[in-house]
Amino acid sequence: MLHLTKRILLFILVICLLSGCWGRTEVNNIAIVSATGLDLTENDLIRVTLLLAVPRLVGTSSGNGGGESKLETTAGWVVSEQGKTVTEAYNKLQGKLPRKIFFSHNRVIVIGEKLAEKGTFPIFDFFIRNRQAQLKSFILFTKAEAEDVLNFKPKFEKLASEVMKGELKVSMGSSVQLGKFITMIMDVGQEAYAPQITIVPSKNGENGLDNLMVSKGAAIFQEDK
Amino acid sequence: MEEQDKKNMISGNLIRDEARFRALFDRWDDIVFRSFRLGGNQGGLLIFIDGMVDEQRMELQVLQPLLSCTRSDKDWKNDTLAWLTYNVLPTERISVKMREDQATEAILSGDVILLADGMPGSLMIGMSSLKTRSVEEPASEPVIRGPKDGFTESLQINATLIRRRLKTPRLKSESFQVGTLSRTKLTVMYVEGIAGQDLIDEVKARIQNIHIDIVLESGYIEELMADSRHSIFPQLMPTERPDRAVASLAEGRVVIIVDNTPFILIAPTTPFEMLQAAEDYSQNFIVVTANRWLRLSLSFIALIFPSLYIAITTMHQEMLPGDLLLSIASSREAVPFPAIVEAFIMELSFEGLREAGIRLPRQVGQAVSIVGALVIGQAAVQAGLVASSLVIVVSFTGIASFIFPSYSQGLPIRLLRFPLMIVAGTLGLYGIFIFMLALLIHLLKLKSFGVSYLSPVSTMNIAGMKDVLMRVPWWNRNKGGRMTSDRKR
Repeated sequence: MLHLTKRILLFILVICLLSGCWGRTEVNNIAIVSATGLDLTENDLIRVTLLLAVPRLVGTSSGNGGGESKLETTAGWVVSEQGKTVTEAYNKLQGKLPRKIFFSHNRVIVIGEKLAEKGTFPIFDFFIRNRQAQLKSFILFTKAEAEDVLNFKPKFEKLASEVMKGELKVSMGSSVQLGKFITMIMDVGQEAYAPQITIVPSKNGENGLDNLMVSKGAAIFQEDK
Repeated sequence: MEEQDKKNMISGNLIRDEARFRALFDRWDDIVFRSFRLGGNQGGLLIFIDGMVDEQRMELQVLQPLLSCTRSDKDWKNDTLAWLTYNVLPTERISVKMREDQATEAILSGDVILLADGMPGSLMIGMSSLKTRSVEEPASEPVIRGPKDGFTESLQINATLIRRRLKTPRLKSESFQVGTLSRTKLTVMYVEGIAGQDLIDEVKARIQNIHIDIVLESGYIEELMADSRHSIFPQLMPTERPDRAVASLAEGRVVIIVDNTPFILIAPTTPFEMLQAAEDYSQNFIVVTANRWLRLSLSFIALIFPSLYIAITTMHQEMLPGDLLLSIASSREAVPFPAIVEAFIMELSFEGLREAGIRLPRQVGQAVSIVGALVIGQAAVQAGLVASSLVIVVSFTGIASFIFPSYSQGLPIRLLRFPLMIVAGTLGLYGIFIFMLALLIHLLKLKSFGVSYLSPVSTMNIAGMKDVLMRVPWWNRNKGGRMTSDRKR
């Protein structure tokens, strides 16, 4: 009996060291996606934009923290790529990045109007099938380009996605999550809707990009357009 | 055999006996043979070990009466033994030792042997006075509120400390001897009527089954008396506190006192028992209940916290809230090692520091603890060797591992942390679950003197559960020994 125990222990030890069994990805080997933007370009391609959180600038890092206190800095980095389908653009994007894209913290999905008019089903297909994508991320539509929305540099928070999420949680308008949105589309007899987002000046009458984003109006869908 | 026995008997021939004893104690620097004359014409001899007898008392109570006694022929005829015992010697402990090996044993225990010409056998006079430490606060189990006397190395003093708290003739004490070379005296104490008879018999049977050459500490026999010798979990609880021992006795447990060590053993025991502090009963019950929850949760944390950290940050990052993930990621930016290696380095250095800290002389202790904090904390982080988030994990784990009131319960937990970290690093949360499951199975199978190790929880003994999760106030407890009700045989 003892001999058997020793054999079992050895077996377990060997298994632990098998390199095939490791699903380990270090925290600083992943690129954390905070928000996703989808657009339709001129040549009918889908442009995928990702807002990545740069950890170095987000948390209070040890040693050299507390240097930058300007309001204009952001901890996000925007990258984008184009492709015929979302998946193709996504793969091209992964090729551009040194770290593995980590989708699980994606908070917001922003979709440009033109792309929405073309049809949203192909987009959602990607999100539903991806293992990491969460159906509880919020959906937003915009009349402008999604990339611009993601490029926005907020004053209060560190990341644009935080601003969006915060405003959606306060719910002055409506707030719809991806799962609910898809269910609404699928339902016969119920039309889908989702809030719309634009960049507005913080004070009335001023031009230019500024420090407030408001959910203004709603985008209403029939079928998927 | 009979020849042997006959040779073994102390004949009345003083010359022969003295020669035999001198041969036995040949090359003993500290043995003393003090000869004298009894009542004028009878030869006598005192044998004792210098340093083990109380010299003052011996001179006053043994030598003086012996040297100044007179004896008329009418007294006691030829029965010198009886005469000496009943008429001459004013000592409290006297007994007759007919055989040489008995006499030798008495001498080795620090008593005085008296031989007289014409007197078969010898008198053992209890005169031992071994220098012991005074009764002071137990070093390993201090309390804030409670008695501060702890056991010492003298078995007699320890037994006394127990007796003064349990003043009942039902508190029985039976002595044994273990160790062929050390012949250490061992006393088993129990309260008759509360302790189960089969428990007592089992303890005694196991003691008699011990075959070992020396017994220097109760830990030596703890291993030999345990139900499962391969488990790292202690199945007997050592303690240095008399109040704890007495409380266990009142519950129906058996206490084993070993000579020359202040740690006495309590059998049987469970880990819930070991999570209770001695002062739990002295404080308010609500506070103590909260304290017990704290201890329970911290003991879990001490075991799995580093492994959880490793598993979640390397394999299951989606479980962390976004901000936390970003903070951890930012603190890990500059670190070259993967999380497991880092965790191992930190944990090992912490354990090394703790182990070294035990052996530090007092003066150096302060300086080293400061250096230790600096080394492990700040410098390593700033050098970019470890992540600051890991430092927090390790220090919190370290603090949590000191939560055990009973030191020997903390040891297996501390040790199990390491294989758990390996498993967490390779198999993630799944690995942790499997490991904990295996651990649970092992604990469920473990028994301490017939009591399942995780009772009262595993045996669903509601009455016994009153002490696990909370401390039920005095007005709500039912009396009697709980241990006796949930022993399975």
